[in-house]
Amino acid sequence: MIRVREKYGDRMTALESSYLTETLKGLSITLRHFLENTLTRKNTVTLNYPEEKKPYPERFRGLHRLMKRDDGQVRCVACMCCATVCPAHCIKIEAGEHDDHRIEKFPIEFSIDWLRCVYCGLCVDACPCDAIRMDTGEHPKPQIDRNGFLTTKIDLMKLGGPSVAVQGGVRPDNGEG
Amino acid sequence: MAKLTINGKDVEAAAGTNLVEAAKQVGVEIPVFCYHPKLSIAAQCRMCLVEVEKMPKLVPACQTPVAEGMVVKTDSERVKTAQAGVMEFLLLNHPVDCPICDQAGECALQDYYMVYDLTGSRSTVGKVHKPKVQDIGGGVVLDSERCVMCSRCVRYFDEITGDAQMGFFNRGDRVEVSIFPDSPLHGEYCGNVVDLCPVGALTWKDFRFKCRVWFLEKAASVCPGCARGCNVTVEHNEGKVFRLKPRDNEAVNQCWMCDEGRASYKFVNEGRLLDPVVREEKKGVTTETLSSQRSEERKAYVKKEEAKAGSREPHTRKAVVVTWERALAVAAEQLVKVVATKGGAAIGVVLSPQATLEDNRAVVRFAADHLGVTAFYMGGRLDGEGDAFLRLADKNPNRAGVLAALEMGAVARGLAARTADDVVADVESGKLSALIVMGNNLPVSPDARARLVSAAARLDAVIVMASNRSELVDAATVALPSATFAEKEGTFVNAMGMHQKLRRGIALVGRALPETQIVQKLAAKMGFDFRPAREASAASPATAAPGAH
Amino acid sequence: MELLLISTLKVILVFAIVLGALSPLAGWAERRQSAMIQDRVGPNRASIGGFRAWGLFHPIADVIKLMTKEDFVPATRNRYLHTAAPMIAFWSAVVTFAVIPFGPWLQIANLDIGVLFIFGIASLGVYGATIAGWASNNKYSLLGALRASAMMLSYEVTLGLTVVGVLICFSTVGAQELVVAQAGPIWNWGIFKQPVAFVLFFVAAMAATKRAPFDLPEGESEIVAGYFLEYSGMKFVMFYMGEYIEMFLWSALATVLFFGGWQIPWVPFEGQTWYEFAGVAKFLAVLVAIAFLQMTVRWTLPRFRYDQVMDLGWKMLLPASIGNVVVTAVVIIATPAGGVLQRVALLVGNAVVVLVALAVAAAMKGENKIGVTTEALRTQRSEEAVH
Repeated sequence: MIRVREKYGDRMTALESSYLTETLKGLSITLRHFLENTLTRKNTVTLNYPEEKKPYPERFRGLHRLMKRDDGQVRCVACMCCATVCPAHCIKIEAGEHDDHRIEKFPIEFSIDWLRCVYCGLCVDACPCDAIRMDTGEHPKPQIDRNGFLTTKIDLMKLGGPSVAVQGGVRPDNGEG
Repeated sequence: MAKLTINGKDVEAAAGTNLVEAAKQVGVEIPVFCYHPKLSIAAQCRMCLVEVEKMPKLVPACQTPVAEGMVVKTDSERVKTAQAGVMEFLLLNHPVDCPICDQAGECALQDYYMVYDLTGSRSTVGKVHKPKVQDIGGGVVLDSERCVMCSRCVRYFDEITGDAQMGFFNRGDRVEVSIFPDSPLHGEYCGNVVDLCPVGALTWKDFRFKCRVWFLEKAASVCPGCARGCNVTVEHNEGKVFRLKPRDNEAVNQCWMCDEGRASYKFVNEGRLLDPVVREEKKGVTTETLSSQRSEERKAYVKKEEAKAGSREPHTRKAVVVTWERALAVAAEQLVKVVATKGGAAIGVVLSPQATLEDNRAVVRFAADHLGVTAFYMGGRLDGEGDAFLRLADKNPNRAGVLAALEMGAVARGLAARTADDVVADVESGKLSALIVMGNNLPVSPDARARLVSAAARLDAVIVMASNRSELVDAATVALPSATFAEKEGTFVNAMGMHQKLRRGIALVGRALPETQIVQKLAAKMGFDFRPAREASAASPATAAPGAH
Repeated sequence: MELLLISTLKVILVFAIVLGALSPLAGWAERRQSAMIQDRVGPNRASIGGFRAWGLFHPIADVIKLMTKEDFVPATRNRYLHTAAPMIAFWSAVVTFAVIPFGPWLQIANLDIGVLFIFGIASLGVYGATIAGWASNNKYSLLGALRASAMMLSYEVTLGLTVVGVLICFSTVGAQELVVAQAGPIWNWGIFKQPVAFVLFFVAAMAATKRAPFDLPEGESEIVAGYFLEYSGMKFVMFYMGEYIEMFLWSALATVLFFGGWQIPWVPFEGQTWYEFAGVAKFLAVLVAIAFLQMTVRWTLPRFRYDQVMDLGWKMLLPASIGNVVVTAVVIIATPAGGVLQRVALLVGNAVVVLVALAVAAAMKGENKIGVTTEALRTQRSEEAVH
């Protein structure tokens, strides 16, 4: 047995349908908010963005940066692990032969399309050389065209600092043991 | 025949077969570094050690022939311990520089580590370092640190090419594989050692750092380098071919390939004719809008074309990139005019042994059946060097295919292919007033080529179906971009008469089309009922009245 | 000559108040007020030399934008009527201020028929909406125009009848005379004689300005923007400003009718100069307060449905206002003029009107639009279910 509650037609009482009391109730709410917000900004939730900023969560990663060797060169050896693991295909690396045989391979160009990036951090996990990090806590600045978000190696290195990790980075001289 | 069991599975193998091959028959993989079916047995990597009942010690599977009643175990604890031990030794001084190693992704050491080792290093002393990045000639780069001393490369030069070029030097953990002093690798088959090397010790200079191998997609194809028709894999990514690798075919190339063939993919990536180009005769002719895929490169090309055309011709001939529709309309108009005024005999058709059998057949049938052409010529590339191993002097992969296409399409009228030199002669003598050319160029001397180009300016129509830019393309009244071997399906017939299939690798570059489709579209434009794929109509050639349109 | 000069001066002054100050500020006030009500901050970005002034420069920016905006018109419009419509709407709103007595001296024209003049002219505003909707040659505009005209006609009746009660009380239709009649103690104000009439007047006036919750002529959700859909730039501004001016017009009229106009309670006007200024200030204060109330209502109530608007207008407001006129007339005739008895009797009469109206509403409650009671509908439906 299904019980049906009839709701058609008589939703309002006579007093309600005169709108008088209900309007006064509504007015009291809006006026209360108006006065509270005018006098104390008590309920105001809007932030005046450039002046006021909401703090980011602690685990927010932010933009990528390319780490540097002691001599300021890029640590990246263009192994393409990040480009391979990237689910958004936003990393483009052009590998080249380095003059220094101890480094051998390095990225001639390393660009990240920040529009495509999903900021998942998999590239950081994949990197064997501690060459890429996502810990700047910044987000991309607005741009007036798409190319502005295509960030080159130089810009990524500007955000980066030196890394002291050994694996995959500096190696001793040939034959020195 | 001997009956034996491997891991409990019954195997029947011919006498003399080694255990590695016998195990393959029942799907058991025995890891190997030094063993290669085409090389002598060295049994020095010890990776293939297996347990054979009644034998006191583990035996190398590669060196042990099958015997009746043998009971072989490849997965016992003893074997596993031995394999892990061998891996540990091999990795003791290995630099583990996979991030910068081209072999990563197709490296035996990487693969076997994941299956047979998977432990960390126990070593507490530093690794022995050896020279890296050594250009040892022949397009091969040597990294001594990565070497596992399998000696495949050494044995290859000893046994396959017959001129010893590499060897082991020093002893113990200082041992290095290398070339002899002041004797870089030479010969035409150096690339094979890169394929043979199971690790990243030998890498191919041309491919070095170009692309990680796991990005590469593979298409089974045939090498376009010479008439041998070596079976190859076209390895490509994002519309670009990165390398050709030999594919096993005992009847043609076994598992080898020449260095020339390895480089024969380059024209697919570079200097391509991307759009149909029409040379307008009249001055101030309306310039067709450039294609939607207009790029700076193409604009520059058109500009260059215009400049060239202007300098060569006293009256303005403008090279204009046009739509396929427009290009085919111009070509059809020119051909119809020639057929109507001078007949099909005034048209010469140059077939291309660089194109597939199907493409040539389509062109022959279109020209012979619908245009009434009688003059067919053999195009392609000039002959080069050959040798007794793989390379042939004929640098065209499909000469036999062209002849076969001619037989199918035009043998009823007694047609035969004449040489490319005849084209130059016939054009100069005025016998021909229009040319339909398949291919980028003609296999004639530079002098004859120049004479042809200047003579071509007097022709009523020069319709070139080419994949790459050349002086012949520049001289064409209509240049139609055609697809290369890497972009289409088809058949090559090699010097031994073997029909071999090509599989499509990359997508069509620019607005190129296979010649079969070009001819089909051209015929449709001229109003012919033409279906190139139908074998039946080839058997009963229906001749259309020349100039019917 | 002197008369002409003074009249011109008055015109300039009144228009400066209405067009120069009230209307632009109303736009700003409304945006800031709605922000406060909705827990937002509101517009505060427009700045001159880094000085933002709580967004007070936004009206200036708006004016600059709207004046420089392209006047985009539909190709199939009626050229003359499309242009004339906003003028009519704007004109009818503005001209009525001619008879509003802002102060003892500040009134452009003291017509004998002041209140009637206001009704006569203001009701022409409906032509602006109707013509705009028709001349735009757009179905949404036409629907908006139909809604506007239907609604304004309905509420114009109530509006007129509520005022009749006040006019009976004060026995005059001249605007200045009405104010003068409310001199003396505060209970001489119209609102203490006709409280019900004030409520009815307030509601009907909101409908007459076509502002929320009576903004269904422009109902964005269903007819895009209604009758001024095809207007942009300054023509749109004329509708927009007209709406605000009309809001102030009815607020001003309410001040005149119910709040003693410029009269300060208990303080008689005897030609003092300071009184003239204080009176204007008091008048404007009351006017702004009523306008503020109208804006608050706008941000409080959702838009009525069309049938609800018609129900409210014809079934609630109109009978109540008729009742009010009858009761007021009877009381005024039956009781001695100006006495305490009359005041009490008027209030009692008002209470009776409210009670009767509510009782009638309660009796009609069960009836839906097409006159079938829900009870009958329910029976019918349960019978269908049985079969």
